[in-house]
Amino acid sequence: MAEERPATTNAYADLVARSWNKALPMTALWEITYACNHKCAFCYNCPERGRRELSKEQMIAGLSKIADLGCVFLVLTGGEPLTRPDFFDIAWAGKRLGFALRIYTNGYLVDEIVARKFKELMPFEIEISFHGSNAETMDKLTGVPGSFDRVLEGIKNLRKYDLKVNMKVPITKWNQWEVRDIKAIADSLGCHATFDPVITPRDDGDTSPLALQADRDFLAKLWSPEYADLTHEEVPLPRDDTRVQANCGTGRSTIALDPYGNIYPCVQWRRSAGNINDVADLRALWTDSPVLEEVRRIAMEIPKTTLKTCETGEFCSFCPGVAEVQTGDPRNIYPQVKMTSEIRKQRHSEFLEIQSRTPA
Amino acid sequence: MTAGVPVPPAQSVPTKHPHAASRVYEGEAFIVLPQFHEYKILNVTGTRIWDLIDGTRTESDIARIIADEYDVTPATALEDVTSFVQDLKVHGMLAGGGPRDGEAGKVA
Repeated sequence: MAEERPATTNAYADLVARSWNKALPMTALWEITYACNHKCAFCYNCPERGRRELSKEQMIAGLSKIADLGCVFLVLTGGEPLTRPDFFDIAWAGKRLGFALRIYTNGYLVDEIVARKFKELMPFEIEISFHGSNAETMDKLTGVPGSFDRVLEGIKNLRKYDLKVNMKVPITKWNQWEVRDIKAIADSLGCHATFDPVITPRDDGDTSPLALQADRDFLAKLWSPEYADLTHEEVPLPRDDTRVQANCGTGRSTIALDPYGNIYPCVQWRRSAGNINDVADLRALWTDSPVLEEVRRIAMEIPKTTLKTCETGEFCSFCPGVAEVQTGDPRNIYPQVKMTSEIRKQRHSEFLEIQSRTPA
Repeated sequence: MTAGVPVPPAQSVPTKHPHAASRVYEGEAFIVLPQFHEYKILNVTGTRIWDLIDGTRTESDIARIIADEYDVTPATALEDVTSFVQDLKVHGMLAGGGPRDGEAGKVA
C-alpha cells in the first residue's frame, strides 16, 4: 500500500518537468547580502548604494512565507553569504522550516570552526566558486591576493567533515586552459566540479564582464569528446522540448530574492514581482502576479518562436533574463548564445558525420 | 516504560530524521536526505503516513487513522504501517538507530 522509492534520475526529472509545466515552486534562491570579500572581475551583482539590506528578523519572516509557498530547496548566496555575522542564524531558521539547504560561497571564510558549524547544519550541498588551478590566475580573477590558498584551505576544512562540496568554475579566457588542472584539484579533494562557460552582463546591463568570455577556439574544444568528462556530454545534443513546454524554470520552479527582499522569477531575470517584506500571502502573489504571469508566458513562447526561427535554436541554452538585460527584449537572441549554439550544432553535425561513416 | 526493554513496534513513536527536508507536490512527498545526498518520493498513501509521523503518534495511532481513511481493517493497516515505518528506518529517513547512521555525511 504505502510505498517509498528512491527518486531515480527519471522520477526526479519527471518531478522537475511537472514543476516547470505546472509552476510548482521547488527552489528559492536568496542573495542574503551583496557584501563580498572578493572582487571578481565578472560578477553580475549590482548593490544599491546606501540601501539597507533586510535584517535577520525580516529574512526569517520571509523564509516562513517561502516555506508556505512549498519550496523544498533554499539556496543561500550573495555576495558572499558568510560575510553576514548572522549567516548561521538565518541558515538554521531555514533548516527548521524544513528546507534542504544549498550554500553558494566563495569559501574564503571557511576555517575549522565554520566547517564544524556546517557539519552540524548539514546542508544538502555547498558550492564553492573556484577560478584557477594556481594562485596567479585565481587571485587575478577574484582581485584578492591569497584567495587561492584561503579557498583551497576552506574546501579542505569542509571535506574533513565529509561535507559535499561542488567546485563551481565559471570559465573565462583567463582560466580556460586550466580546466583540466582544476578538475584534477577537485578530484584530489573528493569534490565534484562543474564548469560553466556562461558569463553574463551585470544586472544593471553593463556588458563589461563579457570581455572575459572564453574564446571560440576553447569552446569548440570544450564541447568535443576530449572534454566529455568535464561537460558530462559525449556529444552536444539538441534541446528536447517535448517533455517540458517552457524554455526554462523561470517563475515556475524557482523564485529568487535579493538582499532588499525584492522577489524575482529567477536570479537572471530581474523583473520585480513585489517585496517579501510587504507581501502577506506569497502563494497569492505566485498565482496572481502579472509579472510572473508574463514571464511564464514568454518562457512558454520562446521554444516556439525565438528558438524555432534561429538556425541553431535547438542547440541554444537560452536565457530570457540575459536577453532582456542585454538586448532589451527577453525574446532576442544575444551574441553569446548565438556563438555557443553554433559551436554545439557544428560539433553535433561532426559527430553524426563520423557515425555515418563508421561501418555498422 | 523501562529503559532497555524493547518497545513493541505498535507502541513505538516514529520521528522524522532531523536532517530530512520534505514538501508535498501533487499529493506525493518529495524528501531530501542531505546526509546521504539522496532524494526519495513517496506515493499518496506513503505521503499520508509521512504526514502523520509527528514524533507524538505511535504506529498504532497512525494505523488507526489509516484504517479509517482507507477503509481497511485495523490489522491490515497496522501491518502496512509497521512495514512502511521499517522501510523508512532502513533508508535513514527516521531518527534514531537506523542501519545507515554510520553513513551520514559520506560522499559517494
